[in-house]
Amino acid sequence: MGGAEASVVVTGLGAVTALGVGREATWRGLVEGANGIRRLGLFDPGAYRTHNAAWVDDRALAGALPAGHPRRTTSRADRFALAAAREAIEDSGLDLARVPRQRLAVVLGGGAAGLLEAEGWFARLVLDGRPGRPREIVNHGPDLPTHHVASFLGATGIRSTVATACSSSTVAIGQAADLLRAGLADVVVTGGSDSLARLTFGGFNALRLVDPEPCRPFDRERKGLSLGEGAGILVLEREADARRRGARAYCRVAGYGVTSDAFHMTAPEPTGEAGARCLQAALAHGRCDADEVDYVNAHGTATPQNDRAEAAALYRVFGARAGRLPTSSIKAMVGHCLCAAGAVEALATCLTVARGVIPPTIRWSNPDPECPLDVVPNRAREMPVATALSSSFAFGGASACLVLTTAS
Amino acid sequence: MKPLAVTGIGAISPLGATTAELLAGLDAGRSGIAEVELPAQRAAGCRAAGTRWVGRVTDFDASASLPPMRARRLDRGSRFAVAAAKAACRQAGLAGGPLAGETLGVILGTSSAGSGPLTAFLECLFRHSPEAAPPFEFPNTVANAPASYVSIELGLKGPSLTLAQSEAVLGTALVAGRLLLGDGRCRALLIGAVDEWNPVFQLGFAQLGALRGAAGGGGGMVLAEGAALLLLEAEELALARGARVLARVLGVAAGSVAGEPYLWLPDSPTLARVIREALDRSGMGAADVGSVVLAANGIEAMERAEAAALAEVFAGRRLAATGIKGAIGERAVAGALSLAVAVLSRARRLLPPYAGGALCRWPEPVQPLAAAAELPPGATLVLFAGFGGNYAAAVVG
Repeated sequence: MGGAEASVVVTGLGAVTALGVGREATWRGLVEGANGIRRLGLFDPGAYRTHNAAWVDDRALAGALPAGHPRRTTSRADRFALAAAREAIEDSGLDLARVPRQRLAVVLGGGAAGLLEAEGWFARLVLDGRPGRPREIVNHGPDLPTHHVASFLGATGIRSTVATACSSSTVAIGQAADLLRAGLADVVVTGGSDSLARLTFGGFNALRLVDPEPCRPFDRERKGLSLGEGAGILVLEREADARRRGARAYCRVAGYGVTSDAFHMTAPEPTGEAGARCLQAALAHGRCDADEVDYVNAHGTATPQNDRAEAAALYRVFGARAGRLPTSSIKAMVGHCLCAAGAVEALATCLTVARGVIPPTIRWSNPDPECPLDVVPNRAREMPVATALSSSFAFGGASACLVLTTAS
Repeated sequence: MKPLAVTGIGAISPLGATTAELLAGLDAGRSGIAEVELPAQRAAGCRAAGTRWVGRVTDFDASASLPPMRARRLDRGSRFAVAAAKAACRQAGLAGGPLAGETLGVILGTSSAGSGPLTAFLECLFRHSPEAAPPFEFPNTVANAPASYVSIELGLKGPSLTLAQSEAVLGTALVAGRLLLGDGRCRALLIGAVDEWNPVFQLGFAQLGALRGAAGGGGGMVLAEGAALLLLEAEELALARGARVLARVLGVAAGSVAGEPYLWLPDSPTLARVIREALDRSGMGAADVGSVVLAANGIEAMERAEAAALAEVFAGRRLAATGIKGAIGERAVAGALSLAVAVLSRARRLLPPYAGGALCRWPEPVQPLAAAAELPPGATLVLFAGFGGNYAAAVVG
């Protein structure tokens, strides 16, 4: 039943991203340095500063959804989560019939779920004076994908939805591991799902934080972020339980740090002090030395100020070694998936640890003296990674970081 | 689990902007629920009658806790949260920073934070253009804006978390908080909930038939707003620094039932399981409980399920029962206010009367209080239920 020392492993992974539906389609794209950022096809982006996003074509989801799922009563974010959850459970090899349902928990990060659909309802109210159909709003709310996944799995344990903006699903994965260590669940389905909406597209547009062209993390000429959407779902179990049933583990969730910048609602703390505090909290929780870290899957949004602050944080934690430590941002490929970003990035990092391949930072050509990092430019790199960090820094200064290590 | 001490509480509710006003209102049988004018709803042709009931915060002055230049950056929910957080820290003796340098954090649950900025931003986007949409509204559309402003305004550098999980979210917030406090990652946490009432959301819920009166019957939900935050810390550390312990959270459990996510899912076996788990984690049995703060919120089927769960777990016992939602309404904040009322009642050894309708004939163990009454011996159980099948229970002693 857990205990503070219980080790937690990842035994199943499922993904939906702009690079493809499914874990392997996503991983293949990441390793090949594929670009998922293209002209948005969900609504007309003509009046916005950028016309691009890493969006998911709904048609690709068809075969990935659980059989008989009620498509008419789910949102796009719900469907991303359901497809990824189905894949993750199958990947884990778990026989759900043998897991007591009240010991099966679901902890996801969530944000704009159902919002694109609800916007249609609200636009009609604003423009015509009469609201849209009820069906457009029933799935609005950060927690709806969590409920849909829990119902699909028949889970009756704890359900939790973390809504800390861009760090939501990183926090969710950390909380999932906490629940297992404390013995409050036996299997936790975690990660997150988020979908694009006019609110988020318009919001980052209004804040002048978007790059008109596909984003370029850590590049001197970077101009802002490219939004994305998708889902990453991870199945977590205690290592002893996984071993007992003969399951393969991708990696361990060794530590989790969660801190607040206590600085500003949108601006990152510029000296890197706050970011470093988060990474150090994760390392301390995972009982890891900074020297042991082989790779950092960075938040790397590609806004000028965020990347600069993140580089400063890395130098505070790793000293001069930060300049040699492989540090890549997959947001140049999958976009900034907001509340699902941490989940998609943690999923990629699990595969990096398991397979010894680091996905690149694509579209990088101009070194930035303010971000003097080894960003693994443009081509994936094969190298063993025993210890990796996956970090997220959100609006409001809600920072979170996971330490993922090789499973024995 | 080790007991967590509650050493401070701040509450902004439809009954007033302080915990004293909350208790005084409940004791006097006052209701903070009132009718509001909804021109948009009338224009939209909705059946206005009976769907205009709201538990609104009407007597709140943000300038008491924030300078005006700062307050104007904050949305309504964030102002509630910061004011309640400051009150909780003041009561806990943290003003002036006796725990400066320690890891302090905040965990808030919410059902509606950000709804005001969200609708304001989108309305501008739809009526005009993306370039006209107000950039200052966007950061406050995220559900974690209130927790973030609490961290920023109070300088809390530990976790700043927000959980969005319908009305029972306080249970999951307490579980998450206990994990962070239990192994010393945090010295103290503000745990609570915040909600902001919004007329567009009111219209949506009315259209779905979820509100009192909308479906024609006497049952249904009334949307509440406000904030309640409780300062929790390990009991031995609270006592070591000489803090006054108002009451202790002894155990908490949360669980769920599978079903349609946007419906109330009455399920007494799940609630009974969650109550037993919370008792078990408190090292207690049913015989150790003397009072209960009900989750009862005016949804008839949910009240029946709650009655059945209590009848099952507490067969042969008598529990003095109170409940606040008939006076303030429902949403995440109502759960936090329920916990606050349990703690405050224990501190003053007096339970407020039950503010609820007569939808449900409560079974033998449940004795709804008609007037404020002395706290009976035994622990106080606090129940939480949310739509989508979420249930939680906390034991306060």
